[in-house]
Amino acid sequence: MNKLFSKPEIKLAGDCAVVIDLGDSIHPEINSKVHNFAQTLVQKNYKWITQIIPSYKGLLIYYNPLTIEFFNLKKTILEEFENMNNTQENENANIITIPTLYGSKFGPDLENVINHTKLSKKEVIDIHASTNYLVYAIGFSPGFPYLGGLSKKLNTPRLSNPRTKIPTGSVAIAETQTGIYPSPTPGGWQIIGRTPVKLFDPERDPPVLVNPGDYIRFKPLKSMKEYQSIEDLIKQNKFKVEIDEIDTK
Amino acid sequence: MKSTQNKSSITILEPGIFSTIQDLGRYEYQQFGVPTSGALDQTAFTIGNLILGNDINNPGIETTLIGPKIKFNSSQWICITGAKSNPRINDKKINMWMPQFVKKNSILSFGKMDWGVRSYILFHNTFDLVQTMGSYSTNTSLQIGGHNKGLQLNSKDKIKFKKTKTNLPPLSNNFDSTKHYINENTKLSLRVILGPHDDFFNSNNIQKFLQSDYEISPQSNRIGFRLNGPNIKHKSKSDIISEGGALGSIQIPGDGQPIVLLHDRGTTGGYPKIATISSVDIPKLVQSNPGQKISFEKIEIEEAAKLYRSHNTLMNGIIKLDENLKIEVENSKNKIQVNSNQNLLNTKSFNIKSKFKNKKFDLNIKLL
Repeated sequence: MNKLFSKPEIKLAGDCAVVIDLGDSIHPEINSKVHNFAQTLVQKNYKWITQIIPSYKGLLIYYNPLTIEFFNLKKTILEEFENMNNTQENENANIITIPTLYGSKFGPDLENVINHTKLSKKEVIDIHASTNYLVYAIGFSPGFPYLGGLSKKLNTPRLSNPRTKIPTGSVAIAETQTGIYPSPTPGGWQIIGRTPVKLFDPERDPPVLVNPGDYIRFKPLKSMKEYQSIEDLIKQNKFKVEIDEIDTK
Repeated sequence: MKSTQNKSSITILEPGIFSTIQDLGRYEYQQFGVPTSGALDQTAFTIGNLILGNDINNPGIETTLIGPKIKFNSSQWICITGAKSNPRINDKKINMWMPQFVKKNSILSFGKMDWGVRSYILFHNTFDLVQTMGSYSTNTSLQIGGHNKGLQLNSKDKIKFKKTKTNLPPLSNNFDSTKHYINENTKLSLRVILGPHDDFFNSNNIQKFLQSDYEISPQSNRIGFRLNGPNIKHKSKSDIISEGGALGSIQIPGDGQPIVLLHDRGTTGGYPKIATISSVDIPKLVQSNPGQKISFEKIEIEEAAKLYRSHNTLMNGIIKLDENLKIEVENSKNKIQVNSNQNLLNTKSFNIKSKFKNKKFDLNIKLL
């Protein structure tokens, strides 16, 4: 059951932040509302809002208690939500293509997935690369996209013994989730491939490549040679990431 | 007019247990999954910069338990705040919470910790470092910020400063530790606002949380403080759909032992948070040692907001721009009178005679 609330639930997160829930579950419709609401608030340029962190079903809003009372904050949020519901929503989203080399030494757990799902290597790659994955949120570690939409056919449990360090760019799956690791972190997901594209780069502005509300599509690379040639282009700052627009309705 | 010929710098002789460069944090990048980092005790950090007449975000060094030993390769004003760490210059004890002039080739060291955990070394000048995503703050686990790709201070590190300031810090301020900082003898009762997920717990468990003593675990760091004490049980689920977590929120994972989220916390997480510590009480927690007992006291949001505002007013009151305060500056030729914050560009060396909190300054300063 996916429930989109008729009005936001506002919850206290201390004296400088509030959680605004717009629904109660992981669902593209709820998530799209979340990102639209975040956009609306950013555009309004309220001085009392210091940061907005959108996630699956709601937003964490940091505010400056010197410039607004909680009572007025609540009132403004409810009004803004109502106004937003009366306006036309943007139904276009960006889709970012992530070139990925599946298997080989970059995807040491592809065999696990093949064994668990009883699919062939080609089938696993085709299924994984044929979906447009919605970026529900960015979090956990810098630039890490929480992706939704993994095919049930690829459902594979986590590793029983998590790795202490997952290499940057690793593409991994675990149960109903798939993701890309933008920085080396520990983790127990099954690593099936790697992308040379940098999802997070502190020297870049903005440092992230994908934003919540965007979609990601994986494009299988044919060989290590192709991977390396893209990696070289990235190093020389000559690689252009493929970004298209799609209609989400 | 050129203010300085040589770049000023410091050299780390001994790093201490865990010393990092911090400012107030990087707030703009949380939406991209980047933790804020920043000084854990923002009150002590801010006061130090106010006392030096700095921008409150001017980066400094956060020390942990045992402070570093630092050689000053050029003269400059500093101010040490936070934990009572018995700072010394050339083995002579100096006062905390006031501007101190450190002469070239002097060595700053720290003695026994009498109270607290984290001291702050604030400098009148600004480190000559490149900010990472708008901040100098070090995050050692993500390896970003600071002076050396997110590393803590290490022996032999040399950190340069930008242009040397030639004006003096204000030699007069209203700082009063009993009014502006933590009272060491008060019981460690931290005020909390319930939520955002207090509805994950029944009233018995919320009462248990509010009425029990918790001990700070040794497994506490800049990401979070783990607490040991009575288990808090969830009504049913012990996880939430991942969402942003605020500074000071107290999450209760499946094992029922609370974890307070601090400045290096990941931006999002999946545990329910029973309550959030009021902003003004965070310094009390981060100055507490492992093994110390703390408890929680529930307050309403209106009261928390009031506390936040009066704290801000207090902080603003520390700066005292006293137009009447005159300092007698004496160089080889003549005596002149200047205001405490007046630029002294034209003077190469001089004596300062002034009164600061009834203590006499008598310094022979040579600007480089």
